[in-house]
Order: sequence, then structure tokens, then C-alpha cells
Amino acid sequence: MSNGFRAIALISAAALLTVSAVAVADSYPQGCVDCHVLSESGSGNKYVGDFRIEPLLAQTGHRWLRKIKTVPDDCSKCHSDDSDLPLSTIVHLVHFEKPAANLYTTEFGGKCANCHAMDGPSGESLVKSGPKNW
Amino acid sequence: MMRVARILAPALLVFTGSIVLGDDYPQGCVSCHVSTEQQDMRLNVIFDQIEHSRAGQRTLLIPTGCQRCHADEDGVGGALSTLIHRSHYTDPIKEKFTGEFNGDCVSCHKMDTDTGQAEIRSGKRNWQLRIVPE
Repeated sequence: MSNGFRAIALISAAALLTVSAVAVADSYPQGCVDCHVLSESGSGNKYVGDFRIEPLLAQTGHRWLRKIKTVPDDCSKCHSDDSDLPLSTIVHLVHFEKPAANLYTTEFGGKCANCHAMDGPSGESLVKSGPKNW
Repeated sequence: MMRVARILAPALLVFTGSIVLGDDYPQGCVSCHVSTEQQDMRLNVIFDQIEHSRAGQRTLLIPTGCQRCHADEDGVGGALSTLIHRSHYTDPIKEKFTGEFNGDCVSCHKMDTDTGQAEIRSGKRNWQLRIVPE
């Protein structure tokens, strides 16, 4: 194999890897905790404040999230689909109520895929999760 | 000046709202699976390609009517949700659905912003029922 051909092959392989990395890039691989962060001044973020879930829920009078380790998996202990307050309903309402005025859709361009992932081979829609960040 | 502002402000709000809430596929499957000059992607054509039973051709409301064989729990043909997720999020159709057509969850689903429930769009079949002689 000539050096020229080898170089082209290497560049092509690198380009393919780059393209596939871009194609599968996911800004929110861990769902809730990737978006709900502590955004400090100087971070370059448009909004500055503590948007982590624990302080946000504390403002609503929610009980202390002492036992939560993985979000939102552990929330299902109280907010299962069979409970009076299923987490899916609460989270959908909070993020999509009044979509023309809801910051989630208007400011942050929030979509289903921020919280959900699709497992193509099984055809199952998954809920992204990650360790708590508070 | 104020009169102009009073007229323009609501118009701007409605325009902005229509962008946010814009919906290219209000009827889900049949809004996307259409016949164009380039190709016929209607579901009746795809049914023939995959040798689906005649029940598919006879279904009036898509995908609501598909539930009679493809219900989530006890559908004899397997759960439609799994079949559709697999076919749209597994190669090579995935590239077409998410790439060429920019498809995502809201192409088939919509959020009921009052209840927090993700619903499935549906619409009347867009093909003529063919009567096949016995």
C-alpha cells in the first residue's frame, strides 16, 4: 500500500469517526442533572442561578431528598406510574404547560430527547438518568 | 402609536405562538407517509412490501385502528409502539427518519399540556381501499 493511499485511508477513517461522533452527540446524556445545574456567574451561561433539583424542590415545599442518589430513578419510589402523582405526569406538566410561555421550550429548546433516549434495537423509549448533583 | 402597538402586539404573540406550536405532522403517520412525485411512501404500499395481512389495508384510522392487532399488552401482531420505534430508530431507516426527514418524537407524539400525557397522533388512511376478488 502506497504512503499516499495509506494517508487517505487514515484521514477518511478519522473523518468518519468525527462525523459519527457529531451525529450521536448528546448534550444531556444524564437527563435531569445535565440541565438542572448550578450556573455561576462567569460560567458563560445565559442564566445564572442554582437550578439544581434539590433547591428548586425545596422552594416548592417538597420534602428533603435525603435518600435520592440517582435522578430520576430514585424519585419513582414515591412517584411511580401507579402512584397518585406519577413523575412522568409531573415532569411533563412542568416542562410543557403553556408551551408558548414555558422557558423549557422557548428559551432552552427543550425536547423529548433531553430526558428520553430511544433504544433502537429493542424499540424501548428510555428515561435518561444520572447521579444527583447536590 | 399606541393604537398600532395594540394591534401589532397580539398579532406578534399569535405569530410567535404559531412558530413555537407549529406542527408539520398533525396526523402523525399519514402526514409523513404520503405519495410524492419521487416516491410513494404511503403505508398501504409499505404493507405490500412487507407482506402485511389485508387488515392493514382495511384500517381506517392510523395508527389508532392498528391497535386491534398491535395492542401494547396482548396484541397478536406484537406491540405497535415497539415495532414503530424499532423501524424508525434502527439502521438504515433511522438515517432516513432522523436525518433526511428530521423526524423525532413529536413527529408521531404530541404532549397534552393540560394532563401531562404524551399522546399518539392519528389520522384517516390516505389510500383507497382495494377490493380484491376472492
